[in-house]
Order: sequence, then C-alpha cells, then structure tokens
Amino acid sequence: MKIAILSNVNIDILPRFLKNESLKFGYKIQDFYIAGFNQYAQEILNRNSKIYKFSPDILILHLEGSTFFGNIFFDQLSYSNKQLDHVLEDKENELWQLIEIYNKNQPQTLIFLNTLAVTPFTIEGGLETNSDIFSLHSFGYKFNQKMVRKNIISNLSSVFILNWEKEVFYKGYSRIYDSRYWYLGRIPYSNYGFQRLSEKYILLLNSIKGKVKKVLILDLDNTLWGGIIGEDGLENIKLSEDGIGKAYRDLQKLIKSTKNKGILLAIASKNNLEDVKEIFRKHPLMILKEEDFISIKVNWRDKVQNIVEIAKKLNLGLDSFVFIDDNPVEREMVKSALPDVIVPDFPEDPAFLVQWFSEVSEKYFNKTSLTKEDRNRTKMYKAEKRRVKLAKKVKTIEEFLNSLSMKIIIYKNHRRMIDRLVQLTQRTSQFNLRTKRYTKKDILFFIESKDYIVWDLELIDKFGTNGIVGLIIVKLNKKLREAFIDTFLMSCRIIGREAEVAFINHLTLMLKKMGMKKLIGEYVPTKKNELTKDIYSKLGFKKEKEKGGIIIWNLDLTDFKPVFPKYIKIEEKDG
Amino acid sequence: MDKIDILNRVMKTASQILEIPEERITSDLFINSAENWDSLGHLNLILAIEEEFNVKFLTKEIPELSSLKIITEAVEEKLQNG
Repeated sequence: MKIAILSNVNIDILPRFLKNESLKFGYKIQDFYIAGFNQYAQEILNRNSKIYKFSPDILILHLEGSTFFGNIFFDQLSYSNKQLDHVLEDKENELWQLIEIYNKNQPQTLIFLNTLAVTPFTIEGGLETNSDIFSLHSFGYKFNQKMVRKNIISNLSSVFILNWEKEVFYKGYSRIYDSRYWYLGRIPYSNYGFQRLSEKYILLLNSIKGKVKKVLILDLDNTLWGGIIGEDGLENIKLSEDGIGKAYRDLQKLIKSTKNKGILLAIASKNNLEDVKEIFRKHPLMILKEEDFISIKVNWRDKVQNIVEIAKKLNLGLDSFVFIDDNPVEREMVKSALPDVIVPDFPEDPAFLVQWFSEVSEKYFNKTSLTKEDRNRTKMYKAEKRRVKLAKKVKTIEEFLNSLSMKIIIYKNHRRMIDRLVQLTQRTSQFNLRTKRYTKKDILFFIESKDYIVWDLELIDKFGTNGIVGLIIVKLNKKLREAFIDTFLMSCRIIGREAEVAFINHLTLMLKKMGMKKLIGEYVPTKKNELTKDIYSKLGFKKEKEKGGIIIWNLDLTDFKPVFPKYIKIEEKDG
Repeated sequence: MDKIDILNRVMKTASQILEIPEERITSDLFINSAENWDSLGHLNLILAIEEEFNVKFLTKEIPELSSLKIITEAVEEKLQNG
C-alpha cells in the first residue's frame, strides 16, 4: 500500500505512527510520500508534481484548523459577518476544487479528509456565544458541517472524512496538541496526538474496506446488568434509571443501536434459562429484548463450546466475532481456545461502560455507510431460521420450494443500493463465477456506462425479503451482438432455491430483446467457488473451451428456450 | 536506572527514529552528523525520547540536546529531579 500525505502543517513524522497502527490490522505500507511544508495546493495543481508519479493508494490530506483559517484569525474584527461568510464559502470551494482535480487525475486513490479542529486558546470568552462577534469556533464548526454535507451529496465515492474534531474534543486539545513542537517546527501534535491520529486513519481504512466484525456475543451477569440473577433475582440486579444501574441501561442502549447498524447479537451465559427469560419478559427496564438476539445460549456448558456452535449455525468464521464478558477467567479461556475471536478487556468500574463500549464499537463495528440490509439484518436472520424450520418439516425439496411462495425482483442499474452491490462483490466467494472484487467507483462506472448493464436480484418469500442476493454484470458488444458475463454471483444464503436459474433465464430474454445473439460466460476457478464449475452447463450453455482450469461457455440466444422454475414469480424494476 | 541503561535506550531510540543500524550508533552521534538528523529529524528524535522515558523538556532545552551524550545526561537529570 502506498500512502501520500499532504498538509498545511508539518506532519512529516506521521509515517512512523501509521506504520505501527497498520501492523495491528495486517496492512503493509510499502512506501510514503510527503510533499513539502504547506505545499498541498501546489502539489495537487501541478500535473508534473511528484505525487502524481507516486500514484498513491491513499492520499491523506490533513488540514489543521487554526492554520487553515490563519489569515483571518488574528484579524477577525476587520471583517464583517457577510465578508466572513464569503471567506467560508471561498475556503470550502478552494478545498473541493483541489479534491475534484486530484480525483480526476488519480481516480483510483482513496482520499482522506478530516474535520477541522480549531484552537480553543482564544480571548473571545463570553462574547463568542452572546454577541455578534466573529468566533473562530463557530467558523470551524460551520466549515465542517458544510464539508460533510458536500461530501455526502457529491459523486466522489473515494473521498472519506475522518472526524478529527470529535477526537480532539474527546481526548482533549491539550493532550493532543503540543505547543512546544509547534513553535519549534510547525509540528502540531504531541506523541499522543500522532498516535490518536494514526489510529483513527487506520480504523477509517478498516471501515471502508469492510473489515467489520459481524457478531457481538454477550455475557449477561455484570455485563448487561449489575449483579447475578441466580443470586440477586429480578428485584435486586442493578438495572435502573438511577444509581449505577443506569450505566448498564446506557450500555444496553448502545448495544441495541449497534444491532440497528447491522451487527448481530448473541448471548453466551452460564445461567438457568428460566431465570434469564424472566428478566427479559418481566424486568421493566431492560432495553434489549429476546428478539434482538439471533442466538441465546444460556446453559452451564463451556462458553467456548457455545461460541463455536453459534459460529457453526450462522455459517460464519470465528474471526467475525467479538466476545464481551466481565469475567477475566472466561475471557482468557475464550482467547486461548479461539484466538480468532476478538475479546476486549472489560472495564472494572461500570461507570466507564459507555465510554469503553464506544471505543470497542469504533474498533470493530465501524462503518461508513448503512444499507437497508444492515438495518434489517437481525430480522432477516430470523426469517431465515423460520425457513430452515420449514425445510425440516416438509418432506421433499419440491414441497419446500413450493411452500415458500418465492418472488424475485430484478433491478437494472440499481444506483440506490450501490453499497449493497459493492458489498456483494467484496464478500461473495462461493457462488461467484469470476470473483471480481469491485469498489463503489467501479460499480458506478458499470452503471453509468452504455457498454455495461448491472442487474441485481432481490428474493422475497412468505417469511419476508432475503434482501439483494444476486448480481450479474454484463458487458455488451453491440457490433458483434455478443454479451459477456463479467460478474455472476449469488449470496450463499439462498443457494438451492433455483433463483440463479430464474435470474439467468430472465436475462436471456432481456438481452435477446436488445438484439444480442450470443451470451458468453466464464468460470475462473478459486479455492472456494468449485460449486459453480458446471452451473453454466446446467443453465443450458455449451462449453466452448477450457484452459488452465478456466472454462468459457456460450449460449446461442437466437434459439434458446428458457425454462423457468415454477415456484418463482419474476418482476422487473428499474434501479 | 543507571546512566548506561539510559544511554542504551537513547541509542536504540536514535537507531529507530533516524533509521540508522544499531551497530553504527555511538554516544558521539550529534545533530547534522547523520543524514536523517536534520532539524526535522531532531524534533522527531526528541519527541520519541520524551515518549520513551516519559520526560518533558522545555522548549528552549530541545534545540540544545544536540548529541546522544547530551540527551542521555539531560534524561538522567530529569529522571532524578523530576
């Protein structure tokens, strides 16, 4: 990975801190490029500058707040409020023009901006919030708000903003900044500040790359409430609106919100199931409910066993799990038996639960986008459980498929759900014919290009929607009247429903309508996608050639008569 | 912690920060005598020394810490006197 750093202050020493942080998460930084002091604009504007030759994977454009506004800071009384608004707009436009120029020149580079932190060491005092005087702070806040807003509405999918201002607020300006090095060499931050800054950048990178954990497994006693239900009973556990019991309630609120972000919750607790059910059903102040959890393992068995079972049932690797328990012995056991599971330390004092959990969340559950799938993930898992139950009840596959009342919706160029489409290309490994991993930028390109069509599939049955579970990207050669399947993948959660048959068959009709005569598919073998080796044959394609494991398949659209699975209704919608 | 320990840790820190192999570091190393020990390297080095020993120098002291020997003495003094 190559990282370029541009700044309006001296953060030349950031690389050694970034290297440390990146190792913790398995990134390898090959090389850094740092432009000259405060040369960020020149570096971007000059097409021949070194940054373009360096061609970084990530550009960190780090702006220090007070310096950014420096020229008006000491002169503010000379400006009217109207003039200051103009300055704000000019500075905003200046920055975005630079971003747009850089992005146009190097579209593959991720750009990291940051919200500006402004020095609190000013003399405005009470005037700042009680008079009409210019305030550097409100200036800074306004700028940040506008920048965030602009990023969201802009089409630049490779620009991300680090909330540095919040971190400085959180940890304290005095701890993060160091005036000594500032005056000696325009180095703004202390050791601690550089550590915080570098960790934040790496965590941001994690969330962009989707390195997010999927499941949070929780203990109960002294974790979700104070005390032990087996000993204290419903009336005496600490879970209240006053006293330390409120800390546990606040923690539950954060955990519930985490679930709404798309993280699955499970319980692994050594207790009697009846006692636990009583708490969930009768305690008036529980925020979390039974239905918020996709698995509740309450028994007297080893927690390691319980966790392994949960992982098996969910068909997820242990490296997707975070395990939280107040008991250091339990934590140690899980850590040593299951080294892939993340087991954070637990605060001894419950007063610090909220602070601690927000940090755990940022490290392991951080996201930069929220899809519909995320919001409904728990609900969808539960629906899946009901399907599995039905499958066990019926006697044949036919009966099962028939009783599901399935419908698929095929969307074309589904811009609105682009985050989900990107997620699918990045995470699907089994039913994936060519395993091409794409970024948001790539998918946007396919959607906007006249030579490509992006189709995705939503599968709905009587238990609810399975979400978007299939993706086909086709490249059109209008001259030769041929279409090539660049991407064909289906989420493993719906394998066996015949949805892929309905999908491809329907597309053959659509392509034929467009005048295409031939449909070409390719199978590129990987360690995980062997199940798709002959799928094209099953779908009616003919093998054209095979070399080095890669197989090319052809379908003559002019005489192909698709046979649709009788259990699936098909609907079409524009994205 | 005696002076030898401090010196060793100072030299190790200098090796890491200035990107010089440990074998080539001596206590005589001084500012501008090594490629990476320029003015920026100096601030980077002192920042790391402060972190390593959990000490803090005054702004005016920092530019005067011009050799590993002087740094070692200054760190020793801070650790003794606080």
